[in-house]
Amino acid sequence: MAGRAAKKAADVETRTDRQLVYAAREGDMLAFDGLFYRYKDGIFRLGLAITKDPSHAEEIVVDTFARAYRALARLEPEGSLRPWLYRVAVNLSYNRRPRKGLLISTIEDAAEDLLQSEERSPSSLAELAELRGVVLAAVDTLGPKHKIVVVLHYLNGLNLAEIAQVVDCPVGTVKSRLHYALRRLRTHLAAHPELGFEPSAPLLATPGQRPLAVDPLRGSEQE
Amino acid sequence: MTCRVTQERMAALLAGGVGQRERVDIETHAARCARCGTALRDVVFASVALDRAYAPLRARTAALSPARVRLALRIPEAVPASTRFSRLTARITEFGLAAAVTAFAFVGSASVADRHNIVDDAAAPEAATTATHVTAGTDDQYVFRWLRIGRYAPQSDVLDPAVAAHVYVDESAAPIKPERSGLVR
Repeated sequence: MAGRAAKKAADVETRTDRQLVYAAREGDMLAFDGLFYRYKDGIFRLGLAITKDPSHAEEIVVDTFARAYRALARLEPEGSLRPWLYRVAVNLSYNRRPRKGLLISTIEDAAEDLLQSEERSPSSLAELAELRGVVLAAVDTLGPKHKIVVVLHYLNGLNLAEIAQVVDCPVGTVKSRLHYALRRLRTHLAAHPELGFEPSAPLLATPGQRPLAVDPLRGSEQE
Repeated sequence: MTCRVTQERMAALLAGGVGQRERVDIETHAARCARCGTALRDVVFASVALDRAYAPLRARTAALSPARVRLALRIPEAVPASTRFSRLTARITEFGLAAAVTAFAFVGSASVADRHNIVDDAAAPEAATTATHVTAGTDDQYVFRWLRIGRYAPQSDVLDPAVAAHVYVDESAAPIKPERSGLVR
């Protein structure tokens, strides 16, 4: 009995979103649960980044999947169901008033980050938490259209085409919004010299060099 | 490639939204043009800062179960076959126990009446031929009295139906007054 259940669960993991949606439409709740487990974390993070409140983020996950269940009959995912779910989640997130202040604990995150690294001094932990707080506060200064593009790309890892589907605009618009957001962030971060950025340091010595070589939060070069 | 086009495509370059050839064009232009070089450096800096700032959040997971969604939708939880079987068994057992208790109550009361008849028969052998069943009016009275023992029993020896039968049958004896309970009326 347990072996059969495990086999069915493994089967759900290998099926595509489209197959799971069709199975759920026929009343297979295990297929719907498969979709839930596949996307709940991503939606939770998205809700957390926008509302800053874990309980709100959980409610957003539940509401998103409740809407998905009600819309099962008209869902026709070509590839992934992710853009549709994220679009619902973004709308639900912005319908909730974000809490004042930064509730996402930057110091805990920094502690977890440092546990994985070799450097574990309290000063470096506090410094990392502060820098992280500065960057996230800088994201909050962006308008909602630009902020959502940044969150979807850097937090949820969506590519430009998927972001375009989520925010319902052309890919070119997403590119320009991302560019604008990055420039704004750079200007904002320039007001914090503790980030260790040297404006005069030449980054691209040769055309073949990869630009993503500087880690501004560590101030050191990565291989 | 102009400076404007190069700078517009820098974010797409970082997001993986440009092809290999376009990437080389942008990087070549940025290496030659000081302004575009600075712009690219700024964008890369902000991009890496964001990437690192969101890294811990990317590891966060939601401890949620699909049951929460069903609760929100008011969909009843699916009951496994094994649970369904055990529920049926529980219902049958419940019904059987109820039937057994009811049957015991009736059989018990009937046997009390029988015992009363035996005792009565010994006292009055002439009545033994007629009073064999619990159908006579007086016998019914005893049966019901015994059944209501909890509410009306005045003394403890009524718990023994045989004694109780004697007590109630003896009409010459003084009427038994119920003992007053602790309640003052």
